[in-house]
Amino acid sequence: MAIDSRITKTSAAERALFADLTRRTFFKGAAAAAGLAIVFKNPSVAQEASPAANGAPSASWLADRYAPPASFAFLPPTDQVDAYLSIDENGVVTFKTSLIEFGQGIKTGFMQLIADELYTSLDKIDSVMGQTDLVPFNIGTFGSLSTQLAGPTLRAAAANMREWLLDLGAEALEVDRSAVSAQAGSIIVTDDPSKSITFGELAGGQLSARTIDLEVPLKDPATYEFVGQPIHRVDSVAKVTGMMQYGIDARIEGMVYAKVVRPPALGAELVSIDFSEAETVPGFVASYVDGNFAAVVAERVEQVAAALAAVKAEWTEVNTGNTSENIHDLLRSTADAGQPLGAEPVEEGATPVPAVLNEIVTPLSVTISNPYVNHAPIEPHTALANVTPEKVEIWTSTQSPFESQAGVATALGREASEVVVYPLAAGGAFGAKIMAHAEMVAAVLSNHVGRPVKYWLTREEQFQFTQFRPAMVVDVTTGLDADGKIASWKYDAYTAAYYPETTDMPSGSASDWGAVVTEIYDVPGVETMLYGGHSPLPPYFWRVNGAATNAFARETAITQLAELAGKDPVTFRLEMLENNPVMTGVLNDLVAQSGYEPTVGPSGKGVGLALAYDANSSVGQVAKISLGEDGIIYVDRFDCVIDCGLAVNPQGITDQVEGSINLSLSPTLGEEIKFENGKVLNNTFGQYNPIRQPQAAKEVVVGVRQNLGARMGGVGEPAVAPVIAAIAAAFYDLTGVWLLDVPFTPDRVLAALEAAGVSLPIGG
Amino acid sequence: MAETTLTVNGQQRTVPVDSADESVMLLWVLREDLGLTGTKFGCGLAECGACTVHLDGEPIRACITPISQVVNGEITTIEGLANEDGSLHKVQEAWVELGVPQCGYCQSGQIMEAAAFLDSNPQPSDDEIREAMAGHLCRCGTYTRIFNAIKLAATKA
Repeated sequence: MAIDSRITKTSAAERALFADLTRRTFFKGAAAAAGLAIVFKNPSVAQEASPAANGAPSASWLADRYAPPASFAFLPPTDQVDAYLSIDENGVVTFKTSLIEFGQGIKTGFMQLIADELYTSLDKIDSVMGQTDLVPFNIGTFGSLSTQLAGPTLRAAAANMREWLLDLGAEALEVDRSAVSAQAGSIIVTDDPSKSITFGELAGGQLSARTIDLEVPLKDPATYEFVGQPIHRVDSVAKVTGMMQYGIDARIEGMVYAKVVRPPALGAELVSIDFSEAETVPGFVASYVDGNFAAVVAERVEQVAAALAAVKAEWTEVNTGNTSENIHDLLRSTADAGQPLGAEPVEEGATPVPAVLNEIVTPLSVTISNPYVNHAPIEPHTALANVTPEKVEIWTSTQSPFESQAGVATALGREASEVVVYPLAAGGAFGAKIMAHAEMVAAVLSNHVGRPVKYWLTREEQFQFTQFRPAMVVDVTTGLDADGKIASWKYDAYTAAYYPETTDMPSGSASDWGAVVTEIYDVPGVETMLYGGHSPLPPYFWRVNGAATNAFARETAITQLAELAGKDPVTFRLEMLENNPVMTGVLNDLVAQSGYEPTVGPSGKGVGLALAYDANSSVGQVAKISLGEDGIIYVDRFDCVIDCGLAVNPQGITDQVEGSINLSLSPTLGEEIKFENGKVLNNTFGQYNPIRQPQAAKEVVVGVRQNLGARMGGVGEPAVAPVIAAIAAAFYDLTGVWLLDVPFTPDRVLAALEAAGVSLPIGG
Repeated sequence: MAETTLTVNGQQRTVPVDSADESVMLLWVLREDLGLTGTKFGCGLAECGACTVHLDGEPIRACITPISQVVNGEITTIEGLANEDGSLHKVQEAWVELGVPQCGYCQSGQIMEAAAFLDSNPQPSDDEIREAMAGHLCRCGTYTRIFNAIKLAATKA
């Protein structure tokens, strides 16, 4: 069965959500990067968003050999209740989703939503997540979309299943439909609860055959029993005892191990290859060559490593001259014509109305830069494939099981319906496990040797042959008018977009997220431009994407403007938030929670503020830092307030926000991909140097605002966004010096202080 | 065919490798031969800590440890850390109480390190905790909860 035959039509609510989200270019970017076609209301946009459909290569390392199929369209979700929910004889409700749990807590949140809407309990909820022959299609788990999109769908499906159970219950209890209600996993006669029948007795094993009806009422939020309660995620015991099974843990009888013969640099072509010595290694099973893709297979782990070491391969030299040192110049010199962001669409043929600019009395220019960073999940991308004439089985850790399925089907030239993907737990993802890669390698080699093949990327491969958060450089040209208000705001963002350099088709990098200042603040005379430049490395989604860089540029400029206006960072912002009550609430809560006492200009205390809006959630953060004499920034306390509308599981949100802050501190303080001529130079953890325990936030305080009646905003990523900006503001507050180039490594810190004539220790 | 016998979690386990083969690392014997997949691969260079196990109670990095170095010792993995009555080790207990894991992948190594550390230093200072755990990476950013969980475990019997 092909994917699309299962899909019927989108519900009205989902259509509205999709329309809303696509306006923010979530899906446009996601689909473009993944090489997917996407259904848009405006066909020209769809075409633009789909490099695969236009025959351009995607950023996948394997794409030149095994491009994802153009026919793998984004399909709207089914509206059949039974596709999402089933119920067994014991009354256990199983929800089915292609979304994946990799620690962000969506499984627990979905359980809460369903338990409430079905009037049952958490211990009666089970799940199937991701197995492609059992779950409805969904594009993947990224962009903080899970709770926003799948949450309402599952909740509506549960409400419809409840109505079905009420119908069945009234019939079984031989009373009028209006006389029954649902309670604790049973249908009861409302006036005589001794007359009852359990969900399992009523419906066990049956299909409801219902279509999701959006007119079915949802539970009154005031009566929620589980939603809104703080609950620790459900899988902790398995994760502290080693019992949780991750993609890399998959083992089946008779499996063998593969390694890929990698080129020394991206873009190198295979000139010659000699396996003769590798073939003599004990346990050698097979070699494989197809274009630039070459691999060896052996019986055991140490044997395949020995076989790889014995392969003699010659590759072409890569000499582009592009390096991590000149990347930001490259982005400017190769910039395309740019696209305006956030402006009202102009009818074809009409002339755009220029922004009204007030006269700038006090000008300000701020330029910031951010390098490439890697996702670096601790579990590398991995897959076990068992290819047989009957079917293809893939065990993997993936953010997008249907992308894995499509990639494998294409690589093997088989129907997607013949491929079953079993996603196991993922050991980190952050965007690194959306594209099919390890799955395709394992499948091609299993097909070649006729045995199950397991493959994982080495750490060095994970750093070199995956994708990267695009490097960016941003200019903010602004200033104050005679009244000390922002007069106008010109925002020019240059991002790494075009990979490989020889094509002119942008890859998805979502560098536009958070770029438009008016998403948060009332600012007049705004022009926002995003320019795409050549990208020597494949750019891709990295948790929150451009929103962290854009928040850094925006919030730094606003804090500098506040000082020029003779105002503190809070007062200046509140004046521009009169039409944004949610962010006003966030900011006021944040000041109260953190005890932040804002000053005009630096206080010497090392406290910094930043705001961000991402995935329909508003976030405010206050960082308190100190500085070692060696130039190392330490984070003494980090406060965050988030408003994501309906907070399904405040505990899960708190955990997720805490993690977001520590994750985001890592590229803020130290991560940078160093490369030259297509070769990553720091391809080990020791060289790449993510933050560890000593540089993590010593204390994190999270405030979760609750609005039970509101829509669910995203939670996975928004708190990543303001971190760079908050740390930079705290550093300025401590030292009077602005750090404008990320990461804020000890070398950069010491150089910036020296250039400003500030000596350490501060205040000493 | 070569065979080697190891003591893992109190049991004698025989694996089909030559104990003198320096290319056979403990990590892969545990994971692929013995099915003890709770010990994780992260880097192969002892730079992330995901593969931490105990050799005679001391933390070691299994990814760079040839089995020749462990044939005479007692190896404990995350699967063998719980108390003899089956209850969770106090470090595991603290991890669950504070809901430390997100993806959970690095946590076996973090927990094995923390358990060995508290054995040698039952009442550590804050800085001693941070230094002891500095060999471990967590990409989900659970560092703050890990620190708090070690403080909590130190209060347990």
